[in-house]
Amino acid sequence: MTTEIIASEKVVEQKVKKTSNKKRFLRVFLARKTVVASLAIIFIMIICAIFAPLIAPFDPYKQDYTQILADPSLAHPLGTDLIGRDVLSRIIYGSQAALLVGMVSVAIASVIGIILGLFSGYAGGLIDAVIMRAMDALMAIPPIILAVVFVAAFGGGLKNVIITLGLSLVPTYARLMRGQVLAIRESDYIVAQELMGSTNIRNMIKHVLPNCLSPLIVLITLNFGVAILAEAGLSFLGLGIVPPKAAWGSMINDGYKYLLSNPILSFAPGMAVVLVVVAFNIVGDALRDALDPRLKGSL
Amino acid sequence: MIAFIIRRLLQTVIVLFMVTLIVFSILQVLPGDPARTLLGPEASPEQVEQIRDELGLNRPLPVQYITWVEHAVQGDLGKSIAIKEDVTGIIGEHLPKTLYISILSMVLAIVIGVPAGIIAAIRRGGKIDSLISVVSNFGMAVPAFWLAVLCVYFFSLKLGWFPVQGYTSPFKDFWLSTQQVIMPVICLAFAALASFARQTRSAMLEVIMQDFTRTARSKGLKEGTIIIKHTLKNAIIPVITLVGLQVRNIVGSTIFVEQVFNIPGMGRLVVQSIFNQDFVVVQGCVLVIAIIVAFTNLLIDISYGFADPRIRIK
Repeated sequence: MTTEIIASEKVVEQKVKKTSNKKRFLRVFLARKTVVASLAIIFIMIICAIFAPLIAPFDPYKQDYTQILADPSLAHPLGTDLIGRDVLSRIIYGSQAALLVGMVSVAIASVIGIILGLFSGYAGGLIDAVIMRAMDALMAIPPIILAVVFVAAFGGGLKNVIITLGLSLVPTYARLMRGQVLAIRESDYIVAQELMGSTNIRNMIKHVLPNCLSPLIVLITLNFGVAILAEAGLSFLGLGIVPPKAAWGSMINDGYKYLLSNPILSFAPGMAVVLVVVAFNIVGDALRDALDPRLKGSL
Repeated sequence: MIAFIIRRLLQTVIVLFMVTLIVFSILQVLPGDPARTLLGPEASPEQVEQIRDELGLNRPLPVQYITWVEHAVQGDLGKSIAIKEDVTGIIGEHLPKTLYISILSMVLAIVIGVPAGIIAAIRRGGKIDSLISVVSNFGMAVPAFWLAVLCVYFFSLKLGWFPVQGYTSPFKDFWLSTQQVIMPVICLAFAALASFARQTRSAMLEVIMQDFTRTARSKGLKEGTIIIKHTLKNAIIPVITLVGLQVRNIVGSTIFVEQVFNIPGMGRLVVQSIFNQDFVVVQGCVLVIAIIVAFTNLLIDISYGFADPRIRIK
């Protein structure tokens, strides 16, 4: 049975070679329906975050004491919470925090990590050893515990959550970049560049970086999900986004007290987290498949 | 091999030294004056000053750091500010609970995740493969604390199968303990299980594509022999690496799961100590957790050297 699969892949491989790289990328990337659906979820989330005031049916902070812990109805599709705020509107507003934390913390982590990794890989010797052992040390502490302690030290709130998560994601990028630099700097074309007299820094940026792009793109996409999960976790513990600002994690925690009577208060925001994170993971995997030259575009 | 082990051991010591630096410097920034927390709001500034002297808080930071490390190496992690007990004792009380549920989760994740990955790889593209892939995609995205909330709702409140929360030592009442521990362990294991299934699947597929697998097949070996003796043996190395990563994640997730299920372990201790501004306890907890993670990774790297001769030579 397996031989059949291998044989059929050979056929696909031959077909692919004839089409251009870009087309091949798109074809593989969008081949699965789940990927298209995931892209749609991410798109909806971004729209929700940007146009929250237009989309949300209610003001997420407006307390309506005639509607406390109301069951789902036409007016409140997901019911209301313990002070009568509309749950659906709060979930829509919660996407703002999630998206912002995801984007900015991953940006911080990738920039710092890439610089450290490039530097470490290129400099070698003692500098390399010090940077990498520091990264190992950061990795010995579970990221969520590191984040909890960071937030405890510097205070909660959106800005600190972003910085904290950004810093705790740095080691993965540094390690990835260092590995890539070590692999690439041995290659003939970099040696040739050095012989021709181009400086180290120019070499790093101009030649090494573009070569590391595919694994980086994949890691960045997957880390969006990681950051959103971590933000939800911090907010769940009461160490993240400060209430009354809407965040999915704190909504799950608030709802937990009313689990028996109003399970939807916890279920709905959790569902939002899961959907978005699954979407980023699926897109990340699809990118990996589409960008991997060894797979030659076959699935 | 011995040189390899010694080199890795040295590396671990250096990593732990860096950990102490990181932990110590983060906690310098923690809000609140420990002397003030200790004495309460009514104490006079002179009293606070006196306690600060006694605690050594007025000495220069490097001296404080060295004293802390010196004591830590001897197993003395200081005195808790809020509970006024030895931190080592407090941790000794909380750690076994976290270790118990973490080890059970790790075993569960490996025992189910690895075979699931193997089956998915063998039946690639089939129904079982897609089912496993859906479950593992879900598993890697679901927050442990939300899974815990779902479990409490369905299995405790609705079906009444398990107690909502609590922890009992398995040595005291094994049956009750097992009932209480089942849900937390599943919640902790789920994400790790999903990762193991995925990693095993992709590692197996990579090896299945290689020439020696084809050779084995063309020699006429049985499919079962090929999978176990040739494919799995080569595919297991990236899976072993994953154990190290998952130790970190499982121990990290205890912070949530212990919160929801009200288990008095390390995770809850960290959160409570942060809310109590008990920075000595936080410091000790993070250090102990880092030591556990670092040494597990050391063990994994060594076993890795045994499994793959290429690694210990490098």
